[in-house]
Amino acid sequence: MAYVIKRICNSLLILFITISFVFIAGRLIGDPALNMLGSGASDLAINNLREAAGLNDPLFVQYVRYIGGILTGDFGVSYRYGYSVLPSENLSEIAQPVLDIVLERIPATFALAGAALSVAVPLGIFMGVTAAANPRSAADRIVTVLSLAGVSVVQFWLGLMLIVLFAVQLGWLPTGGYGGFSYVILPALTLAARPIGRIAQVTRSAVIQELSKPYIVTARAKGVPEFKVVYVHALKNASIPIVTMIGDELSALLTGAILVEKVFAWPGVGLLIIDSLSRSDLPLIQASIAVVAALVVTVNLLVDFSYRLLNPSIRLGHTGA
Amino acid sequence: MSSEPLIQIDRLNVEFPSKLGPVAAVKNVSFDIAPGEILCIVGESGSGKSVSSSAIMQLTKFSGGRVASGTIRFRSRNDGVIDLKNADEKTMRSIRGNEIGMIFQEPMSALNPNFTIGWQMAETLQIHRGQTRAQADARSLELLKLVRITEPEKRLTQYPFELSGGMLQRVVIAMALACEPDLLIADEPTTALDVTVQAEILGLIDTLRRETGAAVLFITHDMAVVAQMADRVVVMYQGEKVEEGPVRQILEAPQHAYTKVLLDAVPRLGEMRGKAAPEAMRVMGDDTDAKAESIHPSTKPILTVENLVKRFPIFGGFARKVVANVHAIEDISFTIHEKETLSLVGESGSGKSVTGRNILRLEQPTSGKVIFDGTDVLAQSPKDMRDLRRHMQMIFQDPYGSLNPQKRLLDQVAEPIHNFKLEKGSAIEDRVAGLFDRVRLPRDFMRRYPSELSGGQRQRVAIARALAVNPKFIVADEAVSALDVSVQAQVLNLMMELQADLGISYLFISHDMAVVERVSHRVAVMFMGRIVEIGTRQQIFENPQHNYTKTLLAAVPTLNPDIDIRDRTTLATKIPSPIHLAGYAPPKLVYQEVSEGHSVLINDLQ
Repeated sequence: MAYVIKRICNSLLILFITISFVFIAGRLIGDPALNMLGSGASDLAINNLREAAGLNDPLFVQYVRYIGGILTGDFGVSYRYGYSVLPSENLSEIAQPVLDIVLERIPATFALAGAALSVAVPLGIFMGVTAAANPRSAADRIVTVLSLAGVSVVQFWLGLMLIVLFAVQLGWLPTGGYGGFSYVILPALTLAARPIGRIAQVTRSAVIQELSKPYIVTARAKGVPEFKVVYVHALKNASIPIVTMIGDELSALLTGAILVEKVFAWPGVGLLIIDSLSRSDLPLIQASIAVVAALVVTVNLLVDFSYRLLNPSIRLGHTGA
Repeated sequence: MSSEPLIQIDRLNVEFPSKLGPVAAVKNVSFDIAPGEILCIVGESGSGKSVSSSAIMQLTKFSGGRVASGTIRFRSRNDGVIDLKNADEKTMRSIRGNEIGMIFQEPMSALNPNFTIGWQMAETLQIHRGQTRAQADARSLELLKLVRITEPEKRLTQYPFELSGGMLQRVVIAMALACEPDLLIADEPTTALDVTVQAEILGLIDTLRRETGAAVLFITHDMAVVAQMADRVVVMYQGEKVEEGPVRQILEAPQHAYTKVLLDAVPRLGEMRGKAAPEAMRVMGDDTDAKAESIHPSTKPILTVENLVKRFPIFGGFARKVVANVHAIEDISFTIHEKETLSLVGESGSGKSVTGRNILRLEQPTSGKVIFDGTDVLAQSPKDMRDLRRHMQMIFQDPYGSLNPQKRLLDQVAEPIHNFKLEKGSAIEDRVAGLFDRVRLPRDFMRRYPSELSGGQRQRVAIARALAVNPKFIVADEAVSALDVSVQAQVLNLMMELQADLGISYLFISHDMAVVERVSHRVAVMFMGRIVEIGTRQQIFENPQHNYTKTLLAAVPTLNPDIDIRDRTTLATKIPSPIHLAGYAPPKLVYQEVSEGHSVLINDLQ
């Protein structure tokens, strides 16, 4: 239990540092109000925005206010979201809380990441185990080639090819956008290619290593069917590197789906980050990065805790000898 | 005992593929086993003894092997006599773990680390008997009681890493017996275990054989184990059966030259009785090694160890404070004289290796004093320590791990010469060549890489490397434990010859009582980090005083087949924990001098 508390404290510290770093970086790249409005904006508009956003206060005061706000769930407001040209007055009327904007995008991001992983995990593990159980066979070679292809394929190209084939030529699926189940298939498949390849590679090498261990001979000598030898005895022991890889890939899906969201016009957090960057919408950038960082830190935390479930010697605090 | 054999192996050939075509691992081997009989297959590494047994179970195919020809006729319960060579996978699965049970060499790795003992035992019963988990657990409990394990109920819910090696081997045996097999294959079941645990396990297998009537195929490299266990013996050498016969005939009137070599190479406990100095071993076909003269140490001390203590801290809590200490060695004192061999003997965890490492300051001792040739070792600066190491070298247990696989042997042996700038230019190579002559390796080996050498040859290289700087003192940590007996004899003879010629002193660390008896001038017996008894070899082996020394000596298997192994199996002592809370100070050890130079610990661990 002490371990769990310690890890959670660590994670919160990492989150705090990330948030602080983004805050400082946002102020280092120039005047936020000028960046947001562009060089053509009038002095009045810039001054009004500074006033409304509290940018005239000393940096330290802004920082304390920002951190204090986050602690109470207030990440600040955006004046630019949904507006291409900013009015110079009555800014408070168009202000929108950035956290709401980000949270609105979360279900789309989760749906896409979840769909991609629910394809990638079983398929990647199945491919890896099949290859490991029959080393140097035709199946092993096919898996090796396919997983390498999955890892190295350029995502937006794969996405475009899938659109050309399934949406344009065959007309089975929509080309993009957000809606029912049919909308998620192509972006999820595009995103799944890399995790499938990497999970297959890691599973293959971990299971091969486990299959060479003496306890596998014991299992075979007990008369355990080969399927169970591989999928129960070996895979359970190979699970730690596999779960670590799945966690890595999930983090990547939550942060790095940007290109694929763009190709399929999928309204996830990735797309939001791009849009807010292009508008220099500092409060929105800060909030999206904070939320994504929180998700990544949570995934890592869960992966760490899963080790304790997967390995009894870690769970029971045994250090060997 | 029925005259009909349970299993008949006829002209078995097993091959493994290689780049140069198939390599025969087992060549035309035939033997059979009667019900209730113990057949021992004895041989050194590479003799094909393990491959033969895994061929019976059709397990060779998983490691790439192939049964090329021959028959394995097994009298199955349901199907009558079948040839296991041609049996399909389904038939094999019904035989494995059911009609034939198997026990393995390393109990520590033979069980799946991720499942409980109960789960793994139940698996066998669920597969072959279709039992529910509850039924299987009940049967597992019976089996654990059968193998006489302590607290059997608790074991079912434990994981393998929570049990000691001896307990795990009992679990593996219980698992193999789950379905009352007619044949039990035991592949080096005690090689990885301490000698007192070995005695218990051997006794257990023998008892179970009598109780269950199962036949046993027992594979070992150890002739003394053969003498204790076998009804009949098959001797294998390089894939072939060279001799077969009843145990007494093999031990007392061996016919084949290799059997004689194997028997001669085994140091026999007690054969040095009445002799004051170590003696070289008989090595067949290599009379040059066998120096008859014995080595007499001087009275000048080379190394004095006083009250050496090493504790490993255990950290805990948020602040990572020292909460407890592992008391690895406690109050160790002894002296080694010039040209003398002092052996540290004890079982795993007794602290003998820790002692060796702390003397050389490879680890920093917690307290104590080490005086080497008049110099206080622990007071040296790092630079002075480096110079001092020239005179103190070490040989390690694993000749596979202690040589760098990427470097030529010449460069590895030359490295200490470079480091201490002892020679320059071509003189270095000349010196290495001399060292290769010294350890009897051909000079053309200097250009080779470790992978091209056998284990014994590698250990010679390791010795040459230790000798490169002309040390006065060598710590040999289980230096021959990983070697086959015939090779072990040669390496031991080499070490004794070097001592005679160069006057080297050895701290010889070993778990093998018979080897220790052969090579030592004086012996210190270690238990729980303490020296429980120290004296000359004759004092320790001919007049042991401490209970633990007696236990250790009694547990060593001997070549005498008349000794009933089951008489020696009541030795199990509960070992106290070496972990104590921070601040704990153990009682000052008190030794009683039995006779001159022979001391025994009297106030602790009795």
